[in-house]
Amino acid sequence: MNEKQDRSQIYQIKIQGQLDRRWAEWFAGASVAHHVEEDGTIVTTLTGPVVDQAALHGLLMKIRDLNLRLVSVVGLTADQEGSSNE
Amino acid sequence: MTHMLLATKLDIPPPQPDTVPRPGLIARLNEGVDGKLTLISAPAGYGKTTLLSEWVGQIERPVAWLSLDRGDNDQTRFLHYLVVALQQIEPGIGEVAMVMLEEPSLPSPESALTALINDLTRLSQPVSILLDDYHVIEAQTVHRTVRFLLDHMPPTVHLVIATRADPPLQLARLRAGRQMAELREADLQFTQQEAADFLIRVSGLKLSSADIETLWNRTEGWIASLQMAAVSLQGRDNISTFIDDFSGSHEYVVDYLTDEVLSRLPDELEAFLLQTSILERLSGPLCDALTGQRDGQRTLRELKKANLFVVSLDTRRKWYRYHRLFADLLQRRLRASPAEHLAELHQRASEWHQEHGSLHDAIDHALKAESYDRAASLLEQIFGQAGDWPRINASILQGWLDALPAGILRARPQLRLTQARVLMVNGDLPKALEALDQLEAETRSGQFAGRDAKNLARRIHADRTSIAILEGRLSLAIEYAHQALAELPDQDVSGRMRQSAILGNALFRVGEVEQAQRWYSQAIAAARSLEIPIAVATLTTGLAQTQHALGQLCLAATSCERAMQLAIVEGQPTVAAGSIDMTWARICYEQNDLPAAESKLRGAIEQFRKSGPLHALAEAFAWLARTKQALGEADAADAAISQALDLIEGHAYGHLTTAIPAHQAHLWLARSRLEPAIRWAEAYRAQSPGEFSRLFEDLTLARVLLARGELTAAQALLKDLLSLAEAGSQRSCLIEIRLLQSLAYWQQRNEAQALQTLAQALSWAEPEGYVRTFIDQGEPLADLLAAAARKGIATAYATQLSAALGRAESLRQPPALPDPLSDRERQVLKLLHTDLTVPQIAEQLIIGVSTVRSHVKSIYSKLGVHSRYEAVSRAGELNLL
Repeated sequence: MNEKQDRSQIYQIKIQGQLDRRWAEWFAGASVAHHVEEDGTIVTTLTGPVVDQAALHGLLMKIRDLNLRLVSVVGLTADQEGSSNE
Repeated sequence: MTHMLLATKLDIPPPQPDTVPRPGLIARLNEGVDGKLTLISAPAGYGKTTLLSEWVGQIERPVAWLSLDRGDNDQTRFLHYLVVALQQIEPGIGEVAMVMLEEPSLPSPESALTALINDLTRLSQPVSILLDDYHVIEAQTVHRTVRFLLDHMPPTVHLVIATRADPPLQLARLRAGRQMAELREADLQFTQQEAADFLIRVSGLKLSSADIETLWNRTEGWIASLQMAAVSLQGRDNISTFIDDFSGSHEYVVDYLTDEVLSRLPDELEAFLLQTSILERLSGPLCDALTGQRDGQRTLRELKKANLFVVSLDTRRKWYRYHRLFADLLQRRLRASPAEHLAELHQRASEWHQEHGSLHDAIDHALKAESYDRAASLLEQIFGQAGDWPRINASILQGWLDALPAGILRARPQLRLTQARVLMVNGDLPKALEALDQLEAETRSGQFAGRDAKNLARRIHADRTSIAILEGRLSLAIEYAHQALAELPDQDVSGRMRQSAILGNALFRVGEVEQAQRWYSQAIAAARSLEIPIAVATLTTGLAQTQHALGQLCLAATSCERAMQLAIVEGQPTVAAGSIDMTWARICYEQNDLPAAESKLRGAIEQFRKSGPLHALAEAFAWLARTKQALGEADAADAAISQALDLIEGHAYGHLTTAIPAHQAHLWLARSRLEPAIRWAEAYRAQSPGEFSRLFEDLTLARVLLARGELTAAQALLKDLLSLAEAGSQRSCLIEIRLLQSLAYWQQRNEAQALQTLAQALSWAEPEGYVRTFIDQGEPLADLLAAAARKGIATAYATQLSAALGRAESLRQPPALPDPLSDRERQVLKLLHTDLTVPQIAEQLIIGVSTVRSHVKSIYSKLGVHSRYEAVSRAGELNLL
């Protein structure tokens, strides 16, 4: 009997601009952090679990539909996870 | 499909009053029509749709507008709406495509697309096709369809695609080939000037140019956010404070502004916005149902006037929708708001839609409210309403069925039946059978007692039979039909009628003609007692087909006449008239009344174009091809047979898959073009037989063998066919078999046998007026008929046939060559048709080799060919050999 592997991975999605905590609502379980980049612009990093690729693309589509500027999408390994949590 | 058609998808959005004029962009759109594609690719809120609706308003060229939604990821539905959109600007277009698309068993919509493109080539004026919201398309099949359209559409057609993301349509190639015009975010952003025009003139704000610059910078020219900024600024005293705060904040623009806007609205209005944000489309009464107030209509009008993100969907100002960005933001706030209950709102929306007959929306909302029982009941209603098989597209159905929890679905046999049908339509026959088996087992064990279990059992059975027929398993279908009849009570006349009809059809297809006739007669009697004239008409057509097969042409014609009287209701032909026309046309063809055959076939084609079924249309075209060939119009014949072949391409249409290519072989035989006929014969022989009777195809094969001179093989085949035909009492085929045997004997120089078998054929054929079975054999029959006449065998008839043959042959006379061949050239040509080399030909004709060579050159030139093979082929077509 094989167990269904929990394939959800933690993704870090960086978006230009300042988004508040309400945004974690559609990216369930995500934490929201703000940073100032070198050039002075503010970016928001949403870090949270994504079940699979289809879910990831769904999130990216949402970001597209809201005309948010996507900076980067990074999948984190287990140990990287710890360091980027708030 | 029509009653489920969403008219709003085809409406060109009404022009919005008071917009910023963008003449530069309009000019670029106008120029773009010379290319293949104009792409408008930018995120939401850049005024794509507004710009396009303005463009359409000022251009002379007709534009077919289609607003896409997620349901269009179903290729069939996408094509369906595409055709309907085109029909708004060119009424007659795409009829054949439509017939193909509405065929429930259609596995490959590509042929519909080809048919549509063929129609597009005949457009009288240039048109544009506009696809809005293309980003909702994810299905590769639809992308492929659009790519195909781009590659094959005529130059008169131009495509406009508005999207939020670049579509996978080989844009790089189009760009490189300069066949594409593009408007992107950078083009669509408001320039500072346009922003100024918008803020000052359109929104009536008093702002300094510094203010405008600040706002423009902050929003980066994003129109949607400028709109929100304008709303936030209206009626505000402290403009500079706002602008400072706004530009100083780093918060996501739309969030900031939405909060601003909402915070300044009266509470009831804010509640209104939040509650109604769950709706795809809004109307006054619908909003009232959700808010519990009575001012929905007025509120929507005010929102529209205040430019608060409500867009009108129709010109009557009844239906609106929220600007997409705004709806999403509102919904998010709604979910975060403790006072509102999402499920409750969806429930109210569902109930309202149900009351107003929009079951689709009612189901969607019920599912969102997680009110599954209700959703399931609504689904059942949809099928109850539209009869046995409503033409909703399978993917929407599947989506709904998937959304229901397994427990709910399991308990509703109606829906499980639907599930099985969906599987059938998608061609997944094994799964469909599995679902039916499961359902039947449960029905038998009394799971659904008190829920009309008998009815259920019958419908399961009917579906099983349909699947059997689809799979070509006719004997299984026959078995099922017998089973059903055994279980049906005598009083269930309509049930017995239906099963008898199924039996009649299936038995006819396997070649059991007499049995088929008995069942058709029973079905007709049942239909008469139920007083359903259309059913009597349709069943009588089946009867006529059996009579034709049994060699009773006159009786068959009478049946057709009677059936036609019943098929015309209030002066208008009904669906049944198509089949009657076709069956009758075949009789006319046989009796050599070609004009009548043609006119009836055209009638059938017109009827089938409107109502399908697709396979009947294909068959009608095939017979039209034969008729045209008999009339000497080879080009028209070719056009018709191509249509027939296109229609069946990629589908497994039982007997037609083999029959229509066989009809094409007949055309070649009629033109003495043996090579393609031989190729057909080889391909045909390699095919393994199914359960359908293939007497027609086998007889065609026999003719090819005869034409090749393979007399032994022909005779052997004919002997087998004789037993088959006798077993099924297929007199029509027997006539042809005897005739072909006679021709074979004649070629074998066995005059006695030849005349004996011919005599039998003639004796059967004469009283019924058979002509074409004979004269379609062409010239080889002439001598045989002459011999028969001389020997006093059916002299009058034989002479009559000879005369008809002569006339038919003269019709085959090709137009004279502009530069006719000399006698010597004709001699050389005849020898080119043999294995002789040029030197050997020279020897035979006792002329020099170089003389032969120059004759050959001249022959090639006069025939317009470049090789010996082509010369012989062309000569055959022109009847010069």
